[in-house]
Amino acid sequence: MLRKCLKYDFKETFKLWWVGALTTLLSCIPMTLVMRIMTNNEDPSISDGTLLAIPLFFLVWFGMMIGTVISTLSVYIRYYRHFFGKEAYLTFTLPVKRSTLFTSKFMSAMFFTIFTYVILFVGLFSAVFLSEGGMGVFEAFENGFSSGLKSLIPAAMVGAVVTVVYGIFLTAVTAINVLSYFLIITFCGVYFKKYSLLAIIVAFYILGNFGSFVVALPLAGGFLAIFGVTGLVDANLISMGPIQLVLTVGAALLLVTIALTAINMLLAFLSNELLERKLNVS
Amino acid sequence: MTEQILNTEPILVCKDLCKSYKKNKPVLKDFNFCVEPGKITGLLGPNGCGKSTLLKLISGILVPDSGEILLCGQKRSEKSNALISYLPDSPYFSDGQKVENMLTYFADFYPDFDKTLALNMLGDLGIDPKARFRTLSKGTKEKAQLVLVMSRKARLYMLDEPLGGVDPAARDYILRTIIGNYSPDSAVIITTHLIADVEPALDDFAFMNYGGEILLSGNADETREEQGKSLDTLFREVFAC
Repeated sequence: MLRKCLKYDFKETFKLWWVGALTTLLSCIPMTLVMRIMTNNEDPSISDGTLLAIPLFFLVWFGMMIGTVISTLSVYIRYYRHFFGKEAYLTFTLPVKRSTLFTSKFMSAMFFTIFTYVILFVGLFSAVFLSEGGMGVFEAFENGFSSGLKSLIPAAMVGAVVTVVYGIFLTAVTAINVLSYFLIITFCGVYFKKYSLLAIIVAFYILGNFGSFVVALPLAGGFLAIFGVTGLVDANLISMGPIQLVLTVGAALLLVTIALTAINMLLAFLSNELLERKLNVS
Repeated sequence: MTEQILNTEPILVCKDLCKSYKKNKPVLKDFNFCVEPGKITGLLGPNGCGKSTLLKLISGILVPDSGEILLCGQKRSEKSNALISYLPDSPYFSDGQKVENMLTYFADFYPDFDKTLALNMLGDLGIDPKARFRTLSKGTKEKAQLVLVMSRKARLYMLDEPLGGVDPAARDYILRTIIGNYSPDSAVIITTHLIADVEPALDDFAFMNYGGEILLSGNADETREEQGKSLDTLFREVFAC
């Protein structure tokens, strides 16, 4: 049954998700052009264009963010409509366990949220790459790997290790994001009934601000450490050797990931309990 | 012999069912109800007496405060949803969906769904399977939903106001469909205000009052004979304002 639920969740979520994803990707084209103008400062004939490019940059950036928000919200709209909208009459009369319905929503939400980020990053990096505005960052990042991590593992594996470690960590961060919002929708849907949508919007706004701050801390800390290891930040800023630093960052990431996983399990459990015991569709 | 026992076992048993939306205002209080196979039962009562609430409790979209629901001898669970074909009082389709997509959806989740039968019924009612729900009128949506529900080979059909938004010409077809499509192993519960329309189809009936109190119940033909009046007339007398 999970496979069937996933099929329909993917299909229905995609119907809205692609609009946001396409908006984000299309925004990369003007973003590239604007960044090209902004980075060509050496040519005096386009100085006026550079000035014009600044507000244009923010306009295109805004378009990109709108696309990302639409894509991100598509998974929550699907969750709300299917569990608390008129479709709930059909959803909860299917011969499917509520935990299976929830798992299917979670898996499709994770997929689409991660792909939303992937599209945003692909878009941004393409713009940076094509405009040649940020090549220095790429080179510095690549060169930076030569210090700490290379002392511990073969050079060819450095990129893969960083990707896997940060991939797991970012997946846990994404999961906590998805599950927190799922729990909010479930709680508001169960207890606020007619006013559930308003309650969800208010709660999303509050959690969005608070959550971004909380999530940003370990992310910023983690990236700072990695940049330190890779040489992007002056090693003197961090008073330890590169090997020690790699191990410390690795251990810290592992601990945070374990903690995030435990919180994720609790959030999923609470949502499931509410759906199982308290949900009254009316 | 085994088949005989299975056939006589009640399809639905509600024991001491209680449900309230607000404190001290029970919609159903110690409600007891039983439905046997091979019967079409009319659950008749005034607005707000708990008819729809009862069907929602049986279908699992509401959680009872206390009491027990048994379906074919088993306690209600997600598995029992496979035994029930439920028509709610309002359409549950997403407006962007096509009718044919819903047929595929039902066929995917319900192994007992007969897609050919559904397509034939849609054809009889003049509903285009390629139409999107947003383009259909309220009555046509209800017809399409009824087609989906009646195209299953379920043990218990629960129809909440199946004729409410449907034109009189289609009512006869729908009633013929209800009578013709269910097997002797299954049962049908119909809730409606249009008693005169459904009366010919009913085997049993129950007059339900506020709080889920059953005022009168029994075999429809026997009651009509004993009282010398139709269920519709009897209903008007019992619930006279």
